[in-house]
Amino acid sequence: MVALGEEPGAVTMTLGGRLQTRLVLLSSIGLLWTLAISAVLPRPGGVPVLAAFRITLASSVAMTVLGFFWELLYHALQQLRWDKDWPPLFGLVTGLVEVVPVWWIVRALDILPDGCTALFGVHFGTTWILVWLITLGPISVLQPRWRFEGGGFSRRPGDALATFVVANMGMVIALVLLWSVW
Amino acid sequence: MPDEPAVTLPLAARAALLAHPAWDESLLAAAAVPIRDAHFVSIGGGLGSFAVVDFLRIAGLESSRIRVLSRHAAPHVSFATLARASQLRPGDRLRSDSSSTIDNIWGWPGYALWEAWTERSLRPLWRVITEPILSEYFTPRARTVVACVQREAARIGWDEMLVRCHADAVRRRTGGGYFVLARRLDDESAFAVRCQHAHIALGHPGPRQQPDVAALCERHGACPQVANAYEPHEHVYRELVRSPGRVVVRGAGITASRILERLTDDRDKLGAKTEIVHVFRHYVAGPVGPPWFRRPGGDGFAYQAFNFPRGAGGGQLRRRMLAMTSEQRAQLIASIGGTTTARRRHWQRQLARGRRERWYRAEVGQIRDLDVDASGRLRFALSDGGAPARPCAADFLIDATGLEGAITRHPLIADLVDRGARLNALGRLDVEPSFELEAMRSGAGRLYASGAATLGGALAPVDSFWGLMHSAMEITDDLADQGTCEFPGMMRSLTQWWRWVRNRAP
Repeated sequence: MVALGEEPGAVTMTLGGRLQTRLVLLSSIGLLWTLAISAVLPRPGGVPVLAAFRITLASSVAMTVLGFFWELLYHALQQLRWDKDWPPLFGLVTGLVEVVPVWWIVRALDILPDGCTALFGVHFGTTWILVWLITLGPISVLQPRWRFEGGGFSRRPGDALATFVVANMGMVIALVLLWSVW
Repeated sequence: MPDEPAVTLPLAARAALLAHPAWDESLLAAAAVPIRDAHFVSIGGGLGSFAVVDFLRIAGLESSRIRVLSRHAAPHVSFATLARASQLRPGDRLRSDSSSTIDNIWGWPGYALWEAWTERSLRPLWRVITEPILSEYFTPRARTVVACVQREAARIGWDEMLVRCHADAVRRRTGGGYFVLARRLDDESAFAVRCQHAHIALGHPGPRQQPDVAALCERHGACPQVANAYEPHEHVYRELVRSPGRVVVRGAGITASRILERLTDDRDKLGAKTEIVHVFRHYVAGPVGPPWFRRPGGDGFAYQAFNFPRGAGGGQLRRRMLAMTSEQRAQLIASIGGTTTARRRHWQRQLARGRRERWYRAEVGQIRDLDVDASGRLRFALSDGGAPARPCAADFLIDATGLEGAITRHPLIADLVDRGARLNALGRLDVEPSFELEAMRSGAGRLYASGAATLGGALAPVDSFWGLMHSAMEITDDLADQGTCEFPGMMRSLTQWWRWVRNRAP
């Protein structure tokens, strides 16, 4: 009863909502953040600023693309929870797991000069925490529907395609920038 | 309404008016009922009306086009009254999460941030980040919610929109829209409000009275030994502090938990020697269900943090429910809702101590043959399935078995059902996902409902802050499609939020 204010609150993600949120946030706020800090991240002398952009943009793209697989796993794990939710703390600590394959990819691409581990780590960590903090509430200020739609951005469940296209714009920009600094 | 003539509608005239399936202006004029106008009317005036009106104001509907028909002077009055009766003091915590901010459609900043700010403490923030893994859910204090609702009500101009009255009936208007027939609180004079769209949020019809209690009261008149958890029953606690006694608590929901806490606190702090017999109709001995759908439980209680799993509020359970039939929804609601309480460490410790010290004991079964003996004590038999019933005695019975589910006990809703409003498989109002009562559409006018009366639709936790906000959003969105307002897109949402932060009118 409402007198006791009993309720499930906060956002509880659907699979579609998870994917949309990952894509939209990483390719908007995540990308802006990446562009803003890449030049000022700690890097050893002799490493050009373009190399820094290459590392941060590549790990941003990897974080997003790999995220699609991670989200499938998280959604499966969520099924084991009675509340079918994903507590905020999980959203934070999964970053410690996700950083590993992104690190492998950046290493495999051979774009990480010696001494740039801190650059990679600071970029990944700050981007992760920023996006996580935004999902804890501020995102609703721009999209009041988001938390009621299981993390989806579409006004109606059927509008997902338009959202997908819009959300991808940021990712396209990231890929073009990455290609141009390569 | 100082310029309107005061007309008290005679009973016969009222009945004649109500017999018409649809009204027009001439019919009301013939009955000498004055008519006033509004674009949107919300009937109820509690938190359900507040949530819808708040959203509509933010979506750009002017206060001059909205009227709220209510008996109460403020939107939180009914909430505060029920909360107080069920042992929630102003400083106590609700069963609601930080972002279910009934006064803030965005949910951010939530109640945790508000409390951290007002109490100069980081604890609420730590809890909201680590819940429910490293700490229990953050839940706001009752007084925080009331203060926030008062602030928002003043901001959106609640008093300008409020018309204090009893709303009696909603009728289709010939030619589209609706009339709402109402009586003023002071002189009972009748008036009608002509509107394009209407919304009803009347809350629960009242506490549920169990048949045995009803029968007892019928035999003995007023019976102070039996108390309903949702009505004031302070005399029970006073009496138990004054002299040792045995109290039976019936029910296993959050209100029962609060009553047990109060009884234990009175033992600890005021030296009461109360013996508590807790009667469970369904005793939950442990977790129930397959691994992918297992609800925690133990010591008789089914545990979940909130009255429905969180995924029913907007996550995957709601997605599933959107695609279901009314019957399937009713089944799912029974399995994910029902009587549950929160597993709070404080309560767990209190009851464990009670069991150890033998002043708390759980009984499984049903109370039968409830009666009062010559000395004024309650006598009853406890029966559990096939086992022979055991006679028991107690000084008090506190009934915490819930609130009335029969929404047609609201005359206004009963009248709507007579006029064609459909009921769902749970016997509540059948609403669309937009919370419209589609069967009651009137030309371009639409009738909506939210709150307890709509349980059984696509949204399970309708009767909660979250549910009221969720339905308010869907109603606003639907009205935006009708051209009534503009659903807050990104820019509008941002600018309106900034106005909210600065406490400026929308």
